[in-house]
Amino acid sequence: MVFSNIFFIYCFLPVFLLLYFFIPGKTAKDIILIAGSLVFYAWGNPIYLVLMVFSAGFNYYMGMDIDDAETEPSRKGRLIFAVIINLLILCFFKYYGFLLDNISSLTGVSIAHPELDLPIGISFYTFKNLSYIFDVYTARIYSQRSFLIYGVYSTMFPHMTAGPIVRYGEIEDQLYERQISIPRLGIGAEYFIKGLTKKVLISDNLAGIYEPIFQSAGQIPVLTAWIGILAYTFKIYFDFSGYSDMAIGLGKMLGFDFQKNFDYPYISGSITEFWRRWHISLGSWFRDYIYIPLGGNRVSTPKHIRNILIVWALTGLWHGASWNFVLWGVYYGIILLIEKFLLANFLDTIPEICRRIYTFLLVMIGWVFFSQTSFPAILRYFGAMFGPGARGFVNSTTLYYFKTAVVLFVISFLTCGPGLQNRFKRLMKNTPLIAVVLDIILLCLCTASLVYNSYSPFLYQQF
Amino acid sequence: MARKSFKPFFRKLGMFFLIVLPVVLLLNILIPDKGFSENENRVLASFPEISISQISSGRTASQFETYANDQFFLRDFWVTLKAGFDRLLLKVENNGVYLGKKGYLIESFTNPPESHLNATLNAMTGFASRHPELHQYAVIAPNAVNILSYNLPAAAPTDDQDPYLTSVKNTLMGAGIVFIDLRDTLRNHTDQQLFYKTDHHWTTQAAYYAYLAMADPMTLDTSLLSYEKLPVTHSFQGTLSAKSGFRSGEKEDIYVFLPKGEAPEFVVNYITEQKKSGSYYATDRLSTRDKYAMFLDGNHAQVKISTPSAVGGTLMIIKDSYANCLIPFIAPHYKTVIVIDPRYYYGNLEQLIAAEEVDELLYVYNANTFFGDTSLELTLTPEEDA
Repeated sequence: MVFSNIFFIYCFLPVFLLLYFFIPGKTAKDIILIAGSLVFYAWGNPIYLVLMVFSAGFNYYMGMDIDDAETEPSRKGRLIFAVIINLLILCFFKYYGFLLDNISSLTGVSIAHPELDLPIGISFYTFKNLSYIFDVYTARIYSQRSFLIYGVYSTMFPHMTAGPIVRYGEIEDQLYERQISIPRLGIGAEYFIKGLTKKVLISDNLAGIYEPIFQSAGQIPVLTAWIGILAYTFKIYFDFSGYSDMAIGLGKMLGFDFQKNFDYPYISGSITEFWRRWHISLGSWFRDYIYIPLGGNRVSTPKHIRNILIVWALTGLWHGASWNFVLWGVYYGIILLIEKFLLANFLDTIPEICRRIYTFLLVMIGWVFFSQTSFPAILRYFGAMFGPGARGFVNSTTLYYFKTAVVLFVISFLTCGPGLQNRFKRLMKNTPLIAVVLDIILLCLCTASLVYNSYSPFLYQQF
Repeated sequence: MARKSFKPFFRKLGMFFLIVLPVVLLLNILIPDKGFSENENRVLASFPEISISQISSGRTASQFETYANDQFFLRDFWVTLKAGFDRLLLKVENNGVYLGKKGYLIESFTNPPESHLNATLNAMTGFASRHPELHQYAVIAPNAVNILSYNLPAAAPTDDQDPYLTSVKNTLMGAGIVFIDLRDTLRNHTDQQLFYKTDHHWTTQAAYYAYLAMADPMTLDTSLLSYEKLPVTHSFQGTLSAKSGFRSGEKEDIYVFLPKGEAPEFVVNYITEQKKSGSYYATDRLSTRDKYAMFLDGNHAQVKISTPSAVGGTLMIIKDSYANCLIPFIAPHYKTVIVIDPRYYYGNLEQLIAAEEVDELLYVYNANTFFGDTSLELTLTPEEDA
């Protein structure tokens, strides 16, 4: 199930919330939360539920097992075993086909393999469970002895399918005792409605702008190519951060505080800053569990560079089993190195606005690697953006695209920084009623768009 | 003064959420399900059947989602609200339909795959060379996107039908098929309403001009009959408004051209349905959403029209729905008219032509259908080759 869906918002959620709110007792609430999460996860694709439950059970057991080991070598052995099993499952479902395809094209031997559906959220829940295992090993946390409590952490539907990658330590207290109240539900609803708005009203509409442009990428003028990638740049932010906001909101409703996952990344003054603001839970995962164990920056410069490149190639690969994502990751690795070793002082000397434009442009260019899934497509799109493959600089269709995009671009521009949200916060304080009414209007518009999703008139006479 | 806090806001919003969500759920359960949606002209999803195999395949889940959407209370209101929001965003295209000027909804045109078009043209020229004894004519009507292109939103990214029409014309003329080019005819009459504003069809007015343009090459004596223009409905809501959601409340007229004075009797025989009628117009269709189907009762595999005409021979028309409002003008000039819609016709065309002693063959298509069509090729290709 996904959050931006009529069935979720108006069937699953009310039933679940009523049960969760009104059935007393923490154990009962835990059970309801786990049961609801299993239904949520199994919805539409029940088969992979087994995998998700196995992952939860296995890591619950391994957490205790690591804690119970008496000697350091045996602790380490158990850690390695747990990590290998988790990665094997992830790699089998996510990278198996990719790996075989690459072996095939390197050796010329074609290896047939079944196309496996990617289990929903496997990248997220594997990383979440791994963070728990690592944290137990490094004694940042104690292992959880109650399967019920670990089950709540591991299967909880708000962050189950699309993040954020919530650490066990972050919500440990709330796993034992959490507050549920009407105002907290209101905080959650505020996050949820804002997230839904980002996803349904902004992101989904932006898709309609870049899709036709991407499809005709070989025959567009320069400006059209830039309109396309700008639409994609906004779309991916609103899509992803909207989904994170909904997850955080649902967490709040249930009594959990997840850390923020996006912190207005598009106002960053450098790429280094951008990655502190974009998908924060993933960035910090790679920092804590890959970069720092590799030695981080407390090693010789060549090793430091190696560490950065490894981390960013892996970050890219995490986003999908395809070389363009690796390229996208390495692109950021290289820019981060350049900023670190060459530009650090220079960037501080130029005005804020220039730094922001510099960052935004580089991020837009990065999305070309991300959105175009093959090398020829990437080259074609860059060709259109920078001239050599473009059909002129501008044509009348550019104007059409600009006209149909301009309202969304203005809305996107205004809402990707904190300004509008701060205004709304003042409204929440000063005139709460008006703020509530505004939220209700947004929810109605989202509902209308979601209902429209199944609006498919039967065209009785296709000529 | 006490410092203001967020609490009143959160309490209000929390209450709203906790009350409204279950109330909406309750409303959706209590309000009886609707079976048929007039607006969308389709049966809405009903409560899914539940079985173990359906659940494990995940089908029940998606059925429930469709059901929840289709039966959401005040569905038509939400759809209208969404369309209004689209207008605010300055959206002018939905589902391949442009919101054009002067109230016209115009279906976009995308360059057809060459392979389809070539296959169709090869079948037509091959057929022509096998049947030199038949006089053959082709009418490929340009669509609103071509004739009324000035009503498209400025610089809308749609492709041009003209080069395709010209190339089809040259190919067919080369094979001895008389191509009746309607582009200039229609462009000269854009002061009249040639296309419905909410539907993809041309109007009877446009069909009448087409008929006049066909008279010369087909040697039809147009002085035979004069016509009176009569509206048969004021509440036609076409496919394009349904498809796009734009102008969903808009209603328009359908006109028929009736011959003045005493008209000769004739019989329209719907062969497959074994149904006969004394009229070109199926007026019972006017009480349904699909009102254009009042012309020759919509599309049928094979229709035979017999008239008391003493002069004309037998004409076969191979066509799509654009022909339906044109045929009443053409038919009186022939003793027999055989109407074939290749999308529904699976008989043997060669045998039919021999049995009915066909003298002339006329293709009537609109460009959008013709360029994307695959059924014409199948119908024209002799069975041993197919």
